[in-house]
Amino acid sequence: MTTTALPQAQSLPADWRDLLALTKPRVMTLVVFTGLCGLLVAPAPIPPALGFTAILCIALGAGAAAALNMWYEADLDALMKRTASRPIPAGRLDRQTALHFGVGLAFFSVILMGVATNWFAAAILAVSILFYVFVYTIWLKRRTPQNIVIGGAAGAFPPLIGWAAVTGDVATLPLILFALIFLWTPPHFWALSLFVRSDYAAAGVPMLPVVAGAKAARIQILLYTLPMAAAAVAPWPLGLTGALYGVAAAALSLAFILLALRVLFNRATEPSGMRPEKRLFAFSILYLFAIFGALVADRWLIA
Amino acid sequence: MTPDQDEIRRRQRGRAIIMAVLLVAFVGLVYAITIAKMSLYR
Repeated sequence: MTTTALPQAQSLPADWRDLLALTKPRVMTLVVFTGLCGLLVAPAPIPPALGFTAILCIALGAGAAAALNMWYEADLDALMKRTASRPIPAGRLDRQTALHFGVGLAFFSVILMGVATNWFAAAILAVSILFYVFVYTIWLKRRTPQNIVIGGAAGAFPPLIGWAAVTGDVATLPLILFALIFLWTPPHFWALSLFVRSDYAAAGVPMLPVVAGAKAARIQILLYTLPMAAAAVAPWPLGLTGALYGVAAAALSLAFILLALRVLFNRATEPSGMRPEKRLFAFSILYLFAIFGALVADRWLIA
Repeated sequence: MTPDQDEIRRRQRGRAIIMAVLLVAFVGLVYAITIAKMSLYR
């Protein structure tokens, strides 16, 4: 494992912008959106104030997990171009502040979720934070190329949490949404790790393209895309959604598969020749937004 | 004041303002949650 000495954080008090950056606001957008969609498709109304609080708690929980991830991975972040300017490796924030901030935010989000909605949703939120920090960040990420396959479950919890905040339980639809995000995560991250492979290699992170090579990663991307597409379309034939969602999910999944096929047939080994991978990565983000948007549109427009 | 002390004061002021805004927002949120919960059990 490659390690590096982190720059000594200055003795100045932390700037609030750096604390905000610890929460990875851009990553949080997708988490909040999928959580909101889980909440909106649940088969019961929720007072707006409680719905807002549930989404706020999902956002704060995701922020807490991100802060704890940056606290633990500061040495790796310092070695990668993509992450070297984050607050801790750049020396703008000391690790202890990040740890206190992350733990505090995690407790706050779980307790507020329990008080405002129900303790079942709070428990799932707690599990998702703990899973991301202990299973993905601390246990898997530096040890196995399957890190994001298993660790991806952490990012799949928000629709479950949103649903549980309304109903107090889980049902088939949120479990399928969980499976969809779980199966979406490997193609999404492996597409990214193909064109930033040198970054991961320099930091010693055993991402699949680093350990098994680009060809194996491209095959795996397609192999995960197929069950992901099945999970995306499944709610329609199961009668859990209407045709609006079914047609949108089928069209979007077909586009995803076609882009994954273009990645499969790409032979480039340098990032400059990895346009298909970059397109798949960009489309995968749009895909999840569009699928969940279609789900809510289906529920609200058809209903 | 040295430039360092200036920077410390600037950061402390920034964090104090953010904390004040967040505390006021939190009080408003708890009030809204309370009203919503009361309406649920009415």
